[in-house]
Parts: sequence; structure tokens; C-alpha cells
Amino acid sequence: MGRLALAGLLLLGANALPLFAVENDECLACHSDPELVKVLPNGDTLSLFVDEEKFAASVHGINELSCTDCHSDIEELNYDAEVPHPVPLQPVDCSMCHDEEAEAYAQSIHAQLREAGKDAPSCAQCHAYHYTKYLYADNVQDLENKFCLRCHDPYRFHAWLPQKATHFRHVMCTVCHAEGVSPQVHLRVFDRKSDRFVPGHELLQVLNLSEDEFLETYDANSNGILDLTELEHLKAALHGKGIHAVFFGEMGVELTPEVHRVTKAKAVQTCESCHQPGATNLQQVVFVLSKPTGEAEFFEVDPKVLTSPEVSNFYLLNATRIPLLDRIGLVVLFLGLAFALGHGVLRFLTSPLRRKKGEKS
Amino acid sequence: MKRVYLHPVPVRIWHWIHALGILLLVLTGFQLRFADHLHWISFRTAVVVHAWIGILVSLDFLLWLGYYLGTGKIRVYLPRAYDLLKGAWKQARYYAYGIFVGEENPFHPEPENKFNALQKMTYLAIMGLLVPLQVITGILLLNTGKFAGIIEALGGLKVVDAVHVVLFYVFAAFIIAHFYLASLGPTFWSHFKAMITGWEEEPEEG
Ligand code: HEC
Ligand code: HEC
Ligand code: HEC
Ligand code: HEC
Ligand code: HEC
Ligand code: HEC
Ligand code: HEM
Repeated sequence: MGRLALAGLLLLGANALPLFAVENDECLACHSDPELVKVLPNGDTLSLFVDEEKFAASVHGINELSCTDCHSDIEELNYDAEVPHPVPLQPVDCSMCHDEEAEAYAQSIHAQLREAGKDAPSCAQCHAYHYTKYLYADNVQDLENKFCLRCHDPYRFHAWLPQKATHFRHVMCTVCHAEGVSPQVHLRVFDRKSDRFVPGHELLQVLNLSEDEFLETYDANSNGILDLTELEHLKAALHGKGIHAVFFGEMGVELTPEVHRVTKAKAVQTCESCHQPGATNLQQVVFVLSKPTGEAEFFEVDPKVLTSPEVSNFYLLNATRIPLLDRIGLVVLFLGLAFALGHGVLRFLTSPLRRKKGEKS
Repeated sequence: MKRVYLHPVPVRIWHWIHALGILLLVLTGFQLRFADHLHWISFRTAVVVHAWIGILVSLDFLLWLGYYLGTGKIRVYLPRAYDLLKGAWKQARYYAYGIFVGEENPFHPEPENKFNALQKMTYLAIMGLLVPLQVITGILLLNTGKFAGIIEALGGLKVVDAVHVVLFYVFAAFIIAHFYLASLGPTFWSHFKAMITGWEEEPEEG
């Protein structure tokens, strides 16, 4: 997303309408009441409660959006009326600010099916609109749980894909399902001892480093890329602090607007796009330091680490094979062949000896 | 001609399923590991075929285990005190020297003692250690998602896979040596025939 463009737009908006802006507190005077509900035509009730604290902690709260930035058809509150604003309100149009996301979404199968009258989701059905956080810190499983898996059971499809559990655990759906994304291998620190992912801020705390110092400290050759030896140092340092780190690898995507261009017909089905040394999907490797806000720092990593035993739990058949094993294998094969051939040739060469002996007896 | 009944039916069934299975596993194994260089069959087909044959060979291993434990015949695989030094030495000397100059094979198979000292040691290591290891790592690799916990406890996917791959090369080398050694009978085909009919034929002595 064009972050700067967005920030600019916000500033502009804030400057243009400062006087008329309705404060969030005004809305929350009524909408922080957990009992406030609306009865829908079909008899169901819709809670109109908005959790102030959770909203403040959300990405939009952090960026100080006001309620009316989204609910933009409320221009003022009229306290004389029973409900101080028009109802029903227009659906919120996220594309006011997220135009690139909206553009990609418009080309998705979800948008197409929605237009065709199916109840396929738009922005607000997928995102927890009031409470959404930055999504950079989430690992594949979290992202899948927050999104696709809420509505789809992938085991019902993908008959052609072997080892479904493995793939769904290690490959974000959008790697295959969104056109134009940049797949990335994410490496995160998993602590064997406490059996969990260690969040980035905790790692920094344990290492007693600030965010800026991290790269300085562990990128020993200052080329901006973490290579194998550098990661080994990191691992050793963590070990010294009681964290039994393994670098957990998984295949995510760079969070760009393209993740919304969900497709069925053009989904990746060729194994070779991943299971091949040097496959395009394995070119970008990053080390992730997550933050509590859901943001994250990404550090470029040398893709060669994938073929080392160090990244011990990420192994894509064929693609990230350890070359040393094949050198050992070649020697073993050679020994087997040399034995059979050598012995056979000797037997052939010595056959006159045996013939002579046969004649004697 | 002396005829000895060496290989009962279950052993022959086990053996040929095993032999064909391992051969195909090695071939598909090469395809899986070197899909970038080899294009015998598609990667996906190789994955699927390797998995099914792997399951078949694992069940076949249970047949072997059940038969040999159930009948107590597993003894033919266990080296005796004699085999460990003297037998092994005699047999090694035969293969390294005697066989070239036309000496007689110091070992004569009988149903209760059908392997020479070196065969016992090799076959025991293979059937008692290497094949089970290959079967276990293979089963773990069949569903790395479901078995993630166990795999992690064993040191990670790359460790489990490394064991499987090194053994794969060992089996590939074994097939070559095994085939060659099996041809060293009285005639080129006699041991192979024995493994099909069950009867080993030995020229009468003297
Ligand atoms: C005086 C109390 C009050 C205040 C202040 C108030 N609302 Fe409401 N709001 C309501 C009530 C009551 C409803 C339910 C109306 C109904 O039953 O249809 C409602 C409904 C809504 C709805 C759902 C509308 C729909 O289409 O169903 C939204 C969105 C909403 N309010 C947003 C806001 C925002 C944003 C503000 C601040 C700018 C705000 N409200 C301020 C009382 C209030
Ligand atoms: C990022 C945009 C955004 C912001 C900021 C926002 N809302 Fe909403 N809100 C939505 C969306 C999307 C819906 C779902 C209905 C729709 O699509 O219009 C919604 C629905 C509601 C509803 C209806 C009940 C529900 O939860 O579906 C209420 C009430 C509401 N908002 C109040 C508020 C209040 C109060 C604030 C400020 C504290 C606020 N909203 C800020 C996007 C936003
Ligand atoms: C008034 C402008 C505005 C509107 C309308 C708006 N947002 Fe946002 N949104 C923002 C800003 C600002 C950010 C923070 C961007 C940043 O820091 O990069 C943001 C960030 C987000 C993020 C986090 C993306 C990330 O980088 O991890 C999500 C998700 C999101 N918005 C969803 C929505 C949804 C869904 C809607 C519609 C219901 C919506 N937004 C409507 C302004 C808006
Ligand atoms: C809020 C629920 C929801 C979420 C979240 C969601 N989808 Fe969907 N999706 C739907 C619905 C509903 C349809 C339409 C199904 C239909 O009617 O055929 C659909 C359709 C699809 C289709 C086309 C299926 C077809 O029948 O042609 C694909 C592919 C798809 N979704 C993938 C995804 C992926 C990948 C994600 C995660 C990025 C995702 N969806 C997230 C609800 C959702
Ligand atoms: C390795 C690539 C890959 C991954 C990973 C993947 N998919 Fe798919 N998916 C496909 C392909 C290719 C198709 C179209 C062929 C088919 O129907 O199987 C498809 C089809 C679908 C469909 C439409 C089925 C139908 O016929 O209506 C849905 C829904 C879907 N996937 C959801 C998901 C979800 C959710 C995830 C993540 C948990 C996911 N997929 C992960 C490749 C993938
Ligand atoms: C989008 C990338 C992607 C595609 C496409 C893909 N895979 Fe995978 N595959 C992975 C990842 C990632 C793993 C998990 C690696 C791990 O567990 O560490 C995996 C694991 C596997 C495994 C388990 C053994 C192993 O390597 O860990 C098999 C078998 C497998 N894939 C076969 C296939 C086949 C066959 C296809 C084509 C039908 C295919 N994959 C398509 C990414 C992919
Ligand atoms: C890894 C794969 C293989 C293993 C572990 C293996 C193991 C064995 C074992 C344990 C025996 C003794 C049989 C018994 O219990 O009575 C045997 C015999 C035999 N095998 Fe295999 N085998 C393998 C592959 C093959 C292949 C591919 C062939 C064919 C090319 C083959 C041909 C034979 C023959 C002819 C015999 C009988 C001769 C003898 O006693 O040495 N084997 N094998």
C-alpha cells in the first residue's frame, strides 16, 4: 500500500474538516454500551457495541482515525432525534483510503461471485473492521485462522495435492491463490524449550538490544543480509540466554495489496514452482522480528541458508536438499559399484586359473 | 545334483515384493530428490507412487518379521560364536582369494543354517536395523504435518530426511552388490532360481 499517499490523504482530510469533525467520544457515549442492540428485520439482533480499548489498540485507533472517517455519511450528530444520526447508514467504503487493496479485490473471485449475487465477502467480512491489527507479525497459521479458514475448509478441495496438512501448515493460501503476490520464506524463532514462537520484542529484550542495534550486532559483515554464520551466532547467543532456538520456516507472502486478488482458476498447481532448487518462490527469505502492534521488522536472509541443516525444520523435497548428503551418497554408490565391477573383472581375469584347476582334478 | 529346500513360500513372496519394491523406491527416490535433473515421471506422480510403494514395502516388512519370529526361523539370521570370527574370516578369504583360484565355497547352505557368516551379518544389519529405520523415517515423511511433533523431537525434518536419504543410497549400493553376489552361485542364475522355486541346487561333491 502507498503508505505515504495514505498518510498525506489523512492529513489533508484532517485539515480540511477540523471544525465539523465529530469526536469519537461522542459516538462512544452511546456505543460503548454493551447492551445497545438493533433488531434486524428478520428478528435477529445486531450488537452495536464498540469496545473502546480494543478500537484504540487497532491499527485504525493507533493511526487516530475517527469513527466518522469511516462512517463518513455521519456529518453531525443531532441529539434531538431519537437516533442522532441517519439509519441505516451507508456501508463503509474502505477504498476511500485503501484504493490499491480495493482495486486488487475488485479483480478477485470473491468480488466476481459477490457481483453475481453470492454472499462472497467484501473487506469488512474478512477484516475485523473495528479491531483489525497490523498483519505483518502473523505467521501462516494465524493468518489462515484469521482469514480463509473461517469460511473455507481446504481439505474438501485440493485432491491433487499430497500432504495437505503439511502444505496448509507451511504455505499461506494466498501464495497459491492470489495473483501477483511475492512469496517470501519467513524465518521465525521457535523456542523448543517453551514450545512456542518467541515474539520479536521479547528476543530483543533477552538480547538486550534495541531494534536498530539488532542488524548492527548480527550482520557481522554489514552487507545488510543475514547469512548462515550470522544466524548461527544469533542462535548461539539465544542459547546462552536459555532460548533453544530453531529457525522455523514457512512460506508466506509480502503483504501487498495483491493478496486480495484471490483466484481459483489461476491458482498455482505446479509443484515445480516451489519444489525445485532456485524456484521463484524460494528466492526471497526474510527473518521476522514481530512487534506487539502486529507490525514487524523484516531482515533479508541469504537464500542459501535453506539448504543448510541449520534451518532444520524447513525442507522442501528436492528444492532445499543438503548437498553434503548427496556427496556422501555418491561415495556409497561408488563403493557398491566398484565392489561388484572390481570383483567381477578379477573373476574374469582369473578364470584361466580355475580352468586349469578343473582340468587337473 | 543335491537339492536343498532353502526358501519356503512366505519368504519367496516377501522377498520378491521387497526386491521389486525397493528397486522402484530407489528409482522414484532419485526422481524425487533430483526432479530438477531427471524427468522420468512427473514430480507429483513420483511422490504418490513412492508413498504407496513405501507403504507396501512396510507391510511386507511386517510379513517378514511375522514369519521369521513366528516360526522361530529368525535364528538363521543370528551369527553364532563360530561365525563371528572364524566363519567370517573363512568366508571373506574365500571371496577375496579362494573364489578366484577355484577353491570350494567353505559354506554349504542348509534350511536351518542357510546364510554364511557374512550374509548373516549383512542381512541382520539390513533387516534388523536399516530397513526398520527406513520404514520409520518413511512413515514420518508420509505426513510431516501430522507427525510434526515427533519429527521436531527427533531434531527436525531435515534430520529425519537425512537418515532416509543416506539409507536410500545405502540400499541403492546394496542392490548392486547383492545382485552381483547372488550371481556367484554354481551358475549365474542358480541363486535367483532358488529364490523363485525354493530349491537350491548344489553340484554333488567328489
Ligand atoms: C445518542 C446515542 C448515539 C450516538 C451519540 C451515536 N449513535 Fe450510532 N446508533 C445509535 C442507535 C440507537 C442506533 C440503532 C439504530 C437502529 O435501531 O436502527 C445506532 C446505530 C448505529 C450504526 C448502525 C447503523 C446501521 O446502518 O444499522 C452505526 C454504524 C452507528 N450507529 C455509528 C455511530 C457513529 C459513528 C457515531 C458517532 C459519530 C454514533 N453512531 C453516535 C445511537 C447513537
Ligand atoms: C476502519 C473503518 C471504521 C472505523 C474507523 C469505525 N468503523 Fe464502525 N463499522 C465499520 C464497518 C466496515 C462496519 C460494518 C458495517 C458496514 O460495512 O458499514 C461498522 C459497523 C459499525 C456499527 C454497527 C455494528 C457493527 O459492529 O457492525 C457501529 C455501531 C459502529 N460501526 C460504530 C463505530 C464507532 C462508534 C466507531 C468509532 C469508535 C467506528 N464505528 C469506527 C468500519 C469502521
Ligand atoms: C480514513 C482512512 C481509512 C479507511 C476508510 C480505512 N482505513 Fe484501514 N488503514 C488506514 C490507515 C491510516 C492505516 C495504517 C496504514 C499504515 O500504517 O501503513 C490502515 C491500516 C489498515 C490495515 C492494516 C494493514 C497492514 O498494513 O497490516 C487493515 C487490515 C485495514 N486498514 C483495513 C481496513 C478496512 C477493512 C477498512 C474498511 C472497513 C479500512 N481499513 C478503512 C486508514 C483507513
Ligand atoms: C468471510 C468469509 C470468507 C473468507 C474469510 C474467505 N472467503 Fe473465499 N469465499 C467465501 C464465499 C462465501 C465464497 C463463495 C462460495 C460460493 O458461493 O461458491 C468464496 C469463494 C472463494 C473461492 C472460489 C470458490 C469457487 O467456488 O469458485 C476461492 C478460491 C476462495 N474463496 C479462496 C479464499 C481464500 C484463499 C481466502 C483467504 C485469503 C478466502 N477465500 C477467504 C467466503 C470467504
Ligand atoms: C499449493 C497451492 C495451493 C494452496 C497452498 C492452497 N490452494 Fe486452494 N486451490 C489451489 C488450486 C490450484 C485450486 C483449483 C483446483 C482445485 O479446485 O483443486 C484451489 C482451489 C481452492 C478452492 C476452490 C474449490 C472449488 O472447487 O470451489 C478453495 C475454496 C480453496 N482452494 C481454498 C484454499 C484455502 C482456504 C487455502 C489455505 C488453507 C488454500 N486453498 C491453499 C491451490 C492451492
Ligand atoms: C506454493 C509452494 C508449494 C507448492 C506449489 C507445492 N508444495 Fe509441496 N511443500 C511446500 C512446502 C512449503 C512444504 C513444507 C516444507 C516443510 O514442511 O518444511 C511442502 C511439503 C511437501 C511434501 C512433504 C515432504 C517435504 O518436502 O517436506 C511433499 C511430499 C510435497 N510437498 C509434495 C508436493 C507436490 C507433489 C506438489 C505438487 C502437486 C507440491 N508439493 C506443491 C510448498 C509447495
Ligand atoms: C534393499 C533391498 C533388498 C534387501 C534388503 C534384500 C534382502 C535380502 C535378504 C534378507 C535375503 C535373504 C532371503 C531370506 O531371508 O531367505 C535376500 C536374498 C536374495 N535377494 Fe535380496 N534384497 C533386496 C533387494 C534385492 C533385489 C533388488 C534383487 C534382485 C535383483 C534381490 C535378489 C535376491 C536373491 C537372488 C536372493 C537369494 C540369494 C541369496 O541367498 O543371497 N534382492 N535378499
